[in-house]
Amino acid sequence: MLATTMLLALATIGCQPAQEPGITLPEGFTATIVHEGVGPARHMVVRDNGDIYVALRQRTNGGGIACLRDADKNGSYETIEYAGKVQGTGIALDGEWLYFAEDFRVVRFELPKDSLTPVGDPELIVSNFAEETQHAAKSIDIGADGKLYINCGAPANACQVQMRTPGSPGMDPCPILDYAGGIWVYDANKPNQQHTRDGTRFATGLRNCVAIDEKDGAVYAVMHGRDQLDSLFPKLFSPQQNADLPAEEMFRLTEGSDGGWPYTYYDPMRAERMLAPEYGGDGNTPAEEGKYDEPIQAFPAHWAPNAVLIYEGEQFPEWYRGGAFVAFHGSWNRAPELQAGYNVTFTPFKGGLPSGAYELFADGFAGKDQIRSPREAAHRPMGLAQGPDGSLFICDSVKGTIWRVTYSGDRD
Amino acid sequence: MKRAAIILIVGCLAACEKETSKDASTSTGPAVPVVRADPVNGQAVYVQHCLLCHQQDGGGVPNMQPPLIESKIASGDADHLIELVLRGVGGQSPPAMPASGEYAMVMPSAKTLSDKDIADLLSYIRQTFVEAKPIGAEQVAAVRAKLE
Repeated sequence: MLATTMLLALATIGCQPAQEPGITLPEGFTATIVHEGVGPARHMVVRDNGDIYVALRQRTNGGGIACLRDADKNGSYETIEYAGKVQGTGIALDGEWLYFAEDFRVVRFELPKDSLTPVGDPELIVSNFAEETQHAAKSIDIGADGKLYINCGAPANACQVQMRTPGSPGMDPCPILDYAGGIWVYDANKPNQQHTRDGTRFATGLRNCVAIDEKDGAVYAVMHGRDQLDSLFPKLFSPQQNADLPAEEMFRLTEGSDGGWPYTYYDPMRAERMLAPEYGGDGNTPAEEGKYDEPIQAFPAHWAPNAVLIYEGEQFPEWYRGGAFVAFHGSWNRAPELQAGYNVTFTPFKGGLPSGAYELFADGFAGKDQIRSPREAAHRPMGLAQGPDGSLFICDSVKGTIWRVTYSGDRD
Repeated sequence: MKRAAIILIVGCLAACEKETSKDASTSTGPAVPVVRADPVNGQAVYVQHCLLCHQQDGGGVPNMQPPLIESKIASGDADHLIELVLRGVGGQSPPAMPASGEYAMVMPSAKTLSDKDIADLLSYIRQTFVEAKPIGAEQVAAVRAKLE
């Protein structure tokens, strides 16, 4: 089904042909590189006027937000400015506010109408997150009702008594769930809130959902599943089983949802939630039925879902409307097996839920067929955003390359 | 193909070890204890406990786990390296050593491994990913005793 539609990118300054590897897309779609490298990109948003804002992991040219404008609307984002003494992952727009999530605080900047760059000092919205390094990146989204959704990844693999130590049992109950391993909700317009005192835990049992997209009070989230089944429990799991287990789960979260971490994991081959080995599981024992949310889609293990976008545009054919694009950063913990992911998938939806299996949408980011270690990848898909004309923007974390995907194929 | 590559590496390490022993035995200076590391066991320990994070080629994972290739810690002071492996790095649980902040992942303590396994492992790392002298089991035991 996937035909290759390679694109030459002419969209950078001076319309120089891009040297980046082309990506493959379904027939009728075209990708254009709008910028070859803005820096260590994380998430990205596009404003109503088409301006692009990219959160950077480290400040670049003095700023942690790359701001891009295509003033003459020719598809070439000829203007780029760096702003904000911040660095992190999450970024969101709400009217004339630009929200930014560092690892341990969420702030917002004024973004006046027609201004490319935010102005003034950041206003602190939420702080007091646990300063632990594992899964510290915060991703955010803002609902139409002014609620600020924050993914608080668990600073652990499986909540073991001894972190990532072979055979160590899981803490029961897992104390991490009191402050992380879930999604919290705050008031997007209230400054100086403290985690967790001033927020509400919206959903729990989520190891790390960098990929979140709120729609009508529900949050679509794709979780990074646990690592190291074989190295922590070598008598129960082989390296091959670790490469294929567990699924990266997509959820449709509502208030009170529980994704089952750390007590369970999802086996995509059995299509069944299993008891984690830290809590007495042996690879063959299912979890208690009905206690936890079921995934609405199970993706292959370790692909590292880092962005999800429910497509609401009208540019793409009917098949894509209301469905979910997911950007996979690509695995590191399938070793010694070959790594996998490094792509963007699409899952068709009907009525807010998947109506079919996921399909590969964009591929070729890695620049080579076989990846043994992530550092071999030329690009790793990281962020997704929808433009005002329904175009899909994809950014990568290695160089901060940004692609714009448009559809010009048959509409019948 | 993969197996052939491993055999080649092991063969090279075995040769290196032999060369080191020969040099030591022909020295006319004071008697220096010959460190005898087992590269085959060292590699096996690496595969079981280290490979997933530090990767098969020792290159690490950007922003997650540091590379061992050209690592100044791996090629540096042996006692410091042994201590780091025995205590672990990062996280909230002392006595792990503090992390640099550059990499997100924590490294668990390897204190449950034997002195010989740790010595073979570190010698494998020091002769595969960097160029440094092997480490003996008695040196691991001495550092372990200091920490306890």
